[in-house]
Amino acid sequence: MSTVDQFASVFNAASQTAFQHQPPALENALVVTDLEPDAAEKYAGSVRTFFGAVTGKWETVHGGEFATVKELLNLVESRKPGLIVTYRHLHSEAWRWPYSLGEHLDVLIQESTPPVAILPHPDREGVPERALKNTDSVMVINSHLVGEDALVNHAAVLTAIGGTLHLTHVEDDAVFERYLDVISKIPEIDTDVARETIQEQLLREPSAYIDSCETALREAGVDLRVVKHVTHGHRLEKYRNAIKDHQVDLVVLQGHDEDQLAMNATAYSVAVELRTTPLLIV
Amino acid sequence: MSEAAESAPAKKKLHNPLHVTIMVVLVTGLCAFLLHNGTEQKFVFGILLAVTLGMLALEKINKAILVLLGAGIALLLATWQGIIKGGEMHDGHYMPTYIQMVDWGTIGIIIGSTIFVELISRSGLFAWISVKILKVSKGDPFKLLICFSGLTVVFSAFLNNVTAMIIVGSLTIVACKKLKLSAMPFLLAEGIYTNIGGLLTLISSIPNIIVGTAANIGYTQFLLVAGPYCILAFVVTLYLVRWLFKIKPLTDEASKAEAKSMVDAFDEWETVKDRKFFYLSAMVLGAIILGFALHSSIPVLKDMGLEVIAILGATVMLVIYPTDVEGVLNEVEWTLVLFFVGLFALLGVMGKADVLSMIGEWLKSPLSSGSYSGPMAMMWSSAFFSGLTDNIPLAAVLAKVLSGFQSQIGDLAWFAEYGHLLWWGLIFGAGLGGNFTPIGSASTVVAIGILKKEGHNITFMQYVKIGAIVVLVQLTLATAYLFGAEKIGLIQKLDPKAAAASGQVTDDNGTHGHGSDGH
Repeated sequence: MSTVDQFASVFNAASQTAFQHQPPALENALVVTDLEPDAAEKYAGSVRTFFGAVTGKWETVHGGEFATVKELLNLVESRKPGLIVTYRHLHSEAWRWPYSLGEHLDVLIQESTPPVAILPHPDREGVPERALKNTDSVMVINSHLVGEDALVNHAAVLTAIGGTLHLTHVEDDAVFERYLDVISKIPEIDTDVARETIQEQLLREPSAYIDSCETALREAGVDLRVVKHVTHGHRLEKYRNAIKDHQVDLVVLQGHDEDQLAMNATAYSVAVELRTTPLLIV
Repeated sequence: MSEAAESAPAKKKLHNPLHVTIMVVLVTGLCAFLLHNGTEQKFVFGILLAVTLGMLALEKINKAILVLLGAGIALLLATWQGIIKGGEMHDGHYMPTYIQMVDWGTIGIIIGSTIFVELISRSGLFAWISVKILKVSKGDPFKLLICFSGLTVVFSAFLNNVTAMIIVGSLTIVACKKLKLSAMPFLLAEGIYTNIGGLLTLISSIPNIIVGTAANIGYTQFLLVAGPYCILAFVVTLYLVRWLFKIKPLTDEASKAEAKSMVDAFDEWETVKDRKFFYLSAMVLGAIILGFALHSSIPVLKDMGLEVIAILGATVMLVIYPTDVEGVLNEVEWTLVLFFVGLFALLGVMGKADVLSMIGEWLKSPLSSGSYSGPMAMMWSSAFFSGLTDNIPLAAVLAKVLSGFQSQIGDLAWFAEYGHLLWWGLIFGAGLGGNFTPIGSASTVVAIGILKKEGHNITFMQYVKIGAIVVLVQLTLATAYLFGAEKIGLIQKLDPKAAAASGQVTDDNGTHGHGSDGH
């Protein structure tokens, strides 16, 4: 080793991102529905046990209280909730078609500061029997997990005592193969070495981060089991299979993306597709 | 520019082959013409030496190529004029004269130390130590300055200055990015500190090896004299850098806690791939350092020269790490090795052609001007020229000149009185002068190169404003230290008999004797 770049690589690899345990205070929650007042209260009652971590008061918004997106945002602003609980396609029939979240939710997620829980639509059929019963199995999904302390902290708070927290990181094979294809055309770079070392390094960092999550949560006395899922493949397929295999009760996702106005791509695709699994968008 | 300049990044300059050919033909033709017409040989060879060193200072041609060309012309002309013989039979083997002129001890130390340093580097030991030291700082800017500076001094004492700068410089960039600090003051300070660390031991820098072995100074004696100065210079320079760059320690607890958590996130063991190799490397490094320190007391080895320790260390490391022998051997700085072969041959011819005696005559007046003014003239002038050009040929030429005086110590009362101070004046001057300009030392070139890559452009004059203050302070300190150390007996006078004998060896063969402790 004789260049600045070589040593900088060594030190960059040694510079780990450690998880900081800072549990969020979910003091009050606001259930937003487009139902009649009685049905709205009934619906709100059915989801309270699911979010046992909320310690303060619960409020409910029924369908008559808002129609436009602006009215909904004003309502949320005035109630200042610590958590918003709602479902897709408010005041719309489009929930029958699994291609979007609906205009209210699209804007609400991007505009609101508190996390938004997206539950299956009340009229939706085919929701598993176990859904909304407990949070024994919570999974964090993000395109890059390293450094996303807020996601892990929210997921840890919402995981039932003695439950399992699944922390996932999937490196997308399509992107990786695209770069490998380019590398295979550059004579100065050994393709086999590149494949092995890049793959190893890509997986090493999230793995170390998840280890630090486990250590920090254990040291903080949080009673849960951390399960590491660090792999590569087709992202959505891997997530879908993992959620199914581990009977996940709640998926925690990162909604905001600093680089764009639209919702984080991974979160959006998961939120659109997984319509029977409760989600929390942080 | 100081040692290992070719290792510095962004220094790849291609010469024009036609221009070089014309220059070689013209210089050879001119020298041959002058010699043929009866011009004194010392003046003709003096012109050749001046042209070679002048071109070296201009850095237009690779320094190994340049010195090999100079040596080649000098050897051809000297053989033609009968100044030297082409070679002679030695124990039944033909030994070319230029082979005898080369200081193979220095070459052995360079090759051996490059190999073992490369292998120890691969074990992750230096990176591991660096991260450990970073954690000691807890991310506080002033403590970071102390830690990085200390690390630079220690590393440059055992590695070459460029390698030390590369290791600490790259950590500085990574750590400062994480701590959201400007890397500039730290990197410039490290550039300065490599030259202090380069003074610490006999093998810390090439000028030390050349001058130390020529002066017959042993490893331990060198450390005992240079060590206290390095500690003094470390502390003084630390506060000077703190003042120049306005580096302040963290005061509030929240900032301290945040900085500490950031440096604690570094995992030193991530730098180590194979712990067995790591521990073995640490043991071998320890043994090598002990070997250098105790060389003069180790039976058999004490008769063989310091290079044996370096080569033994390299061999042991190659046995431990057989994975990539070719790759490791390719890391040897062949430019530097060939540069030395050429330089020693060139200076060997210059010695035979009386050029060095002529330079000695010129220098005799200022150097013999008094027991204070002589050593001061040596230290300050060698520092000045080291700041402008390569300090290796400067050290080599002046070491030859001092060896010449030393061989006549019986006739030179002034040299007998304070010749020891002239040797140390040269060591301090050649070692410290590199901080004067941004091109004065290869490690500063590396530091400025790293800063440029990170988007900080330091102009020549911006650096000189800092470098000049640092050099002035360090040289003033070195001057006071030199005379103070002599007063308390740390630096002892030359033993006339031993000095004459070692000076004679150096002067006659163009090679240096190998040191045992003490003068």
